[in-house]
Amino acid sequence: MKRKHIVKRSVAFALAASLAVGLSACGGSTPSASSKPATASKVTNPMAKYDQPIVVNTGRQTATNARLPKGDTYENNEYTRILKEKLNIVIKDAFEANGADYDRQVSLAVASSSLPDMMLVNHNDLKEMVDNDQIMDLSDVYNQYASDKIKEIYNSFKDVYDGGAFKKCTFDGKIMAMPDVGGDAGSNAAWIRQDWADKLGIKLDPDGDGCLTPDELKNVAKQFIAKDPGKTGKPVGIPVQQFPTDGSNDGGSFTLTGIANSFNAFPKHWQKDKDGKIVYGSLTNETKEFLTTMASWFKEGILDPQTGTRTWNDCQGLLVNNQSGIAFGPWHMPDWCFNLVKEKDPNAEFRCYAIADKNGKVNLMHVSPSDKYLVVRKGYQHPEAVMKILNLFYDTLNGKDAAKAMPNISKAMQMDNSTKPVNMEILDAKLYLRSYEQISAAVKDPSKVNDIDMAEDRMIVTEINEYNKNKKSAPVEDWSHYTSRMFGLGLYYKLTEKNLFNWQVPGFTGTTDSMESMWTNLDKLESENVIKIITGAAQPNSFDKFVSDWKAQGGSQITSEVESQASGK
Amino acid sequence: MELLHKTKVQNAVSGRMRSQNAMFHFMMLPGMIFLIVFSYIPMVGIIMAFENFTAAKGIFGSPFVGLKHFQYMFSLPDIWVIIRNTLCIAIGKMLLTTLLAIIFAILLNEIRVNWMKKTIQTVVYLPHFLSWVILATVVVNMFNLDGSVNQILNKIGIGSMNFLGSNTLFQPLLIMTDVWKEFGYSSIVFLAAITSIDPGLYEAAAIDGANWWQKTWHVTLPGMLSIILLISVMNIANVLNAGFDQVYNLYSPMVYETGDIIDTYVYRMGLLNHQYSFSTAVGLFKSFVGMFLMLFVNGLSKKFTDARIF
Repeated sequence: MKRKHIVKRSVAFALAASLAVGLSACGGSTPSASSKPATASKVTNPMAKYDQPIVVNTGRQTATNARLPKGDTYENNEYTRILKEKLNIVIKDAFEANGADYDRQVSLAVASSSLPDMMLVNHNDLKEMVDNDQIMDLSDVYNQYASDKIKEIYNSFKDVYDGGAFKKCTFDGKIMAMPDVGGDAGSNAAWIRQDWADKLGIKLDPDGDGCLTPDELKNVAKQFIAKDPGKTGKPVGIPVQQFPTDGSNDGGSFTLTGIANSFNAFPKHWQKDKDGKIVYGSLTNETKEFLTTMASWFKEGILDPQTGTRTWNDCQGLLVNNQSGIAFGPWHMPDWCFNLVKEKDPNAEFRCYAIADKNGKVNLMHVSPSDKYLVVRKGYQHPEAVMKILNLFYDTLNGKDAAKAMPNISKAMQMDNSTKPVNMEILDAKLYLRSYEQISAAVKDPSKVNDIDMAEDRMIVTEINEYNKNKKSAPVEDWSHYTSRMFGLGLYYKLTEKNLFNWQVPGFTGTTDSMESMWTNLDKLESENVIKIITGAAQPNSFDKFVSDWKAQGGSQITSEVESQASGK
Repeated sequence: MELLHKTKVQNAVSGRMRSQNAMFHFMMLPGMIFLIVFSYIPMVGIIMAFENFTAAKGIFGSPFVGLKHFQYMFSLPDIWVIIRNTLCIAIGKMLLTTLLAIIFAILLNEIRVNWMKKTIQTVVYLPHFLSWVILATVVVNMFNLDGSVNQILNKIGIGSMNFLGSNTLFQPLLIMTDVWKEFGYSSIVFLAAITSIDPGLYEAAAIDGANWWQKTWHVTLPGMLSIILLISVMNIANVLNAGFDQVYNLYSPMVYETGDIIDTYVYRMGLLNHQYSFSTAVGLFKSFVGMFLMLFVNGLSKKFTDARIF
């Protein structure tokens, strides 16, 4: 009896103790009651400096190599110091993460309802946060505090995106986030090792129109494999990552988007067919033809024999190891990928070419509004601070007088853009064409440097000049910017001038309700089929079965939702 | 009178035992608290599997939807393929690891040179402590088309095999590499079981003229039987856990057909698409199946042998 009593008591004690521990563990921070910022009908000085330092907690999206100088961190660098100096705002990182880790941190923050004051999110997260009522309406803050230049930039997208820059982040007429915007920047191009082509005597693009046909590309790959200019014994033709089709704005890197477009195929995009109906690009006949051709290329060994198991990182490794000299990607690939190649092999040179279709034109999709949105959590007392940060970085410090506002801006611009308080851009729709025009003009005629709008471009002109002065000893970064601007953007400019682009407008961008539950499965079906057809694990005519399966497993329902969203709303 | 005396003695005896028992209870207390706080109290969260959970409304505010998620799970086109994959991989791993661990324990027991025994044992159970994040890099390096294994295969004339990309080879690869990683650690328990067998039995068998194989079959294995059954019962509860770490780090769309397990599918759906309720429902389903199987096998084991967990 007494033993039972002791057992009972110890159990009771244990339970009590555990409850205490449990409750303390559950103690989360409850957001303080929201105090509306003083709503003046017109704010007299939007860029006024705060008397007391204002702290902004952010979720920080980092880069793998931020090029921070010694002693500096994401919370303490040239950009954060100028922010403190000009506006008395202090940045504190609630978390810092890169790539997929950053997405996970955002998911965790949303799920646990412990949001930092501001952070970048994608559209799915944005929708969820709106549904959960976790973020603030920014309409008033935008109207009262955004500078004229910022408003002008956002307005420049009125005719480019259907509905303008704010369409995807406006819910019930309220602007719920500041979107990252940037204009079209050209096609997904084939970057080829020019030094190898020279070594082997291959003449690329003899008519100088910046385009290659798929067969010309095939020929280059064949020669690279046969003659192994990288001298590794294991040459690879064209590296392809595990998801060869990509629906993002720049078409992805190490994907086959560039080649698909030359077949007039736009996998993973929603398109409008000739009758105006919306179709999913991965199901079209053009995509089937593209996949069939890729299957034959794979058989011939043009594509990497290990396609399907080679990850994105492996593909980058192939380039760095000199096993491969061809990579598909956007105009800025030299800035973050080929710099690694150049560091290892100082002789490396890259030039890019668009893949043209049978008519000599380059097909491509207009960019859809970016998928990055800056949100401010509900209840934060100083949403206008966020607007001021945007004003400072994307108006003042991006403009002609940037150096006056920030004397050591050129030093700051040595760092990666992720060191800015927010890893986003607010760039004008026609920016990239203008940027190239101004940069190339200034390189030819130094007096034109003063005409350049963007401070970053001015610095790049300096770098290009440095590089041209002494190619052998210039830092890799100068070479990267030279290659990405003069050739990456240069190609976009040239093709625009020669009117070789065949622009398509996306039929639909965004998500529908059914996508939430069905898209993972459809996506899996698509990824499996694409990679199997390309690698020959499935016959090309299994594509038809894929199409009917896709439609049966929810695709038809999603398509009709897309139609109604695109036309009705 | 006598009764009173007896109870007094009994009380005196039980008093000593009481204070001894109290000591043991106190020793268990931290573990119990840990278990209660981290395993029992969070069980309240199971209710998430029956609601449409949204972070804003929290666990108790989200709308109740009953068995909707379970119905949805079984309506997914791939669900049976995924469950089949999970079972194949998990059972394959379990059987082979246990088998190899037993064989290894028996053989290791025969070694008389002590330092050699200890060294081998340490080397063999070290891979258990390596994370799959690291091992995946090693496995990929060894088994991809340029890797050392294929180089050897080519030299001896068999030609390359696409281990990581072929639907016939991927499951064996998963199973073999995991068995290599875990059998050493699993063998520790079996080794302990073998050392606890009464040496007298071996002597008796030797007198009866048994050779090594007969001794093993008639003395060693029966002596280990209860432990083997115990370990198997515990393992059965994990039959739907095919090893997310390993599969996630080694799989690719090419092998979704045989390599996609419940956990990887739910991961893609859950975290990336914010389907928290659904992921909880699937997790609950797995736990439930595991528990049912464990009770069942335990019941069988109780009936036919005297080894049991509860």
